Amino acid sequence: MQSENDEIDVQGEIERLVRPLLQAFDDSDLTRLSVDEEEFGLEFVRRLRPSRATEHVAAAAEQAPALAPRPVDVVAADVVGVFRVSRPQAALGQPVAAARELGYVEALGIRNPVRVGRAGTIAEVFVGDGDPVEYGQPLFGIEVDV
Amino acid sequence: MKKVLIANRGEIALRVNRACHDLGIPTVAVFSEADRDSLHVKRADEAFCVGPAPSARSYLNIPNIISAALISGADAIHPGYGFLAENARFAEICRDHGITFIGPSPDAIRAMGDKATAKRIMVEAGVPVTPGTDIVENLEQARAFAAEAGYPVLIKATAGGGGKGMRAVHAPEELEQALNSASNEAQAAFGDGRVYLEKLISNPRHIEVQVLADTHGGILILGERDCSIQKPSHQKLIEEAPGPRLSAAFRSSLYGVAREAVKAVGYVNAGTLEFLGDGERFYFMEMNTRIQVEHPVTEEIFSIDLVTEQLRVARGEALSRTQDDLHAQGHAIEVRVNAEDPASNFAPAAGTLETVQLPGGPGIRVDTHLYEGSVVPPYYDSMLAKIVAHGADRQEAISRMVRALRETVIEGVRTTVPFCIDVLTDPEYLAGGVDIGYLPRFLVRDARVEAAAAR
Repeated sequence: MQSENDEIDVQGEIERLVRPLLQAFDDSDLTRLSVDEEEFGLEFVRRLRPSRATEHVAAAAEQAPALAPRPVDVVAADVVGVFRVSRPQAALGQPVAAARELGYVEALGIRNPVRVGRAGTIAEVFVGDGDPVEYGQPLFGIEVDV
Repeated sequence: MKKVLIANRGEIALRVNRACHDLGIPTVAVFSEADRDSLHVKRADEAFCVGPAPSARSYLNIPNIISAALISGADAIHPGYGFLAENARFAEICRDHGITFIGPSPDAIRAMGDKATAKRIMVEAGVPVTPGTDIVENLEQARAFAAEAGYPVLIKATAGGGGKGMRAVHAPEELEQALNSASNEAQAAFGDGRVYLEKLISNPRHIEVQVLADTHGGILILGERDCSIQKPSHQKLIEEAPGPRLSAAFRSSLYGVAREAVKAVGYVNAGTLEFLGDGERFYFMEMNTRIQVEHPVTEEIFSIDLVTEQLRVARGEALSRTQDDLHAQGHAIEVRVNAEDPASNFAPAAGTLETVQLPGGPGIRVDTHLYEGSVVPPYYDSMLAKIVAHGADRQEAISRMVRALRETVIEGVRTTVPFCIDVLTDPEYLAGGVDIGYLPRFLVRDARVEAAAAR
């Protein structure tokens, strides 16, 4: 324990306080975190990348705080088989129309198309070309257009 | 056989999983969305969800099950009992995909699955069958048979099972209506309304013979099981081996007939021939082309593992024993612990199990998928566990079973445990050799005692 006379190591103290906060922020879905204490204040702001649904949702909330976050539809496998990407490949962050074929699950020689439900933007890709998939396995997250 | 997919759930999926691991074979489980946290999923080396909770879309979903086998590299499928176990088409589909179906040939499944065909094959093999007809084309044929054999008679659907399309007829004036309703029910249930008639044996015993056969001509006749303790719905509740109070002549004749039946069908793998026992006589009822729920009582008295034998036979190997190696030791009893309320006509229950304390000690074996906190879903059959007691003789087996049932604590759903203790301590059961009318009579007697106690 430090005695009262010891000079406070400001740099070390900031380090001790800030690191865990930064870690917590990084693990969260928050886009902005500010701390305003008597001795010090800080603010973290996440630079938004379009590749993560959570950030996308947060960004939408940022621009129009009154709106609810946009819903994300999960497109899941409805048969057991091997997932194959359809060409042209729909990329992360790309807008996709309703019923667009993102890929197919090959089972017993039959191609079972994997289609977008409601139109939106590809926010999550959970599966890779050639992956075995089971019934109900999430394949894509589609951030639905409002 | 590099990897086995187990196309089932519950205790039998675990039973097969154990046999595979005993032989060093990796396993693949399949499961429905309702069984994600089931023990059979946790114990297998790999697992695939094959559909939602209703079994028609999961455990009976042939394309998803075959696909799971192909993508996991499983080269054999064990169907367990129920679900796809006696589906000849499924066995064919496995074969067409280069997957070994662990069971008999599709032809044997199909022949034994059609009751009229099965009966014809058995008659040709010299197996005694209950007097009866071929498919009846009209009411006159049915009337003629019933008049000759004498009432009561039983109407049965050739595609039947589980009591569907079955009617007991006690008098001539009931015949026409019973014939029509049985045929309509069979048409609705199986898409096949053809029926035939049999003489109804009143209150027979249910005696069945376990058989095993390999592809090298090896046949084992593994004694009989007495499964006469049946609920009013004809579902078995308590089974034992050997059958009590059967004469040496009865047994020797029964085993000889069973061997001829296996040869006549060209049967391979494990199967069970079910007979109605009527005094010193017995009549073929049907052949089940799968491993059965009550197989452990046979395993206990013969010290044999029927499921590893199934795997060996499916690999094309010879059975590990010959008939001369087999010697029955003592007596074994199985109790089915079901999530059912015997006081409400065995209505099934579902729920979460808060407490699970299972028995143990000398002579006790428990085959179960239960664990504390496990969920009993409402979609499947209500069996929670099989408790098997083995003793030097019937009396010791019964004593051990009663002790084991008293040790058993399952909280969260009602079970058949207290009811089975009452049966196993009933003087009529203890005397041995009861018929299939025993349990329904016991229920009536029990209700009267309770009503009297309540007054």
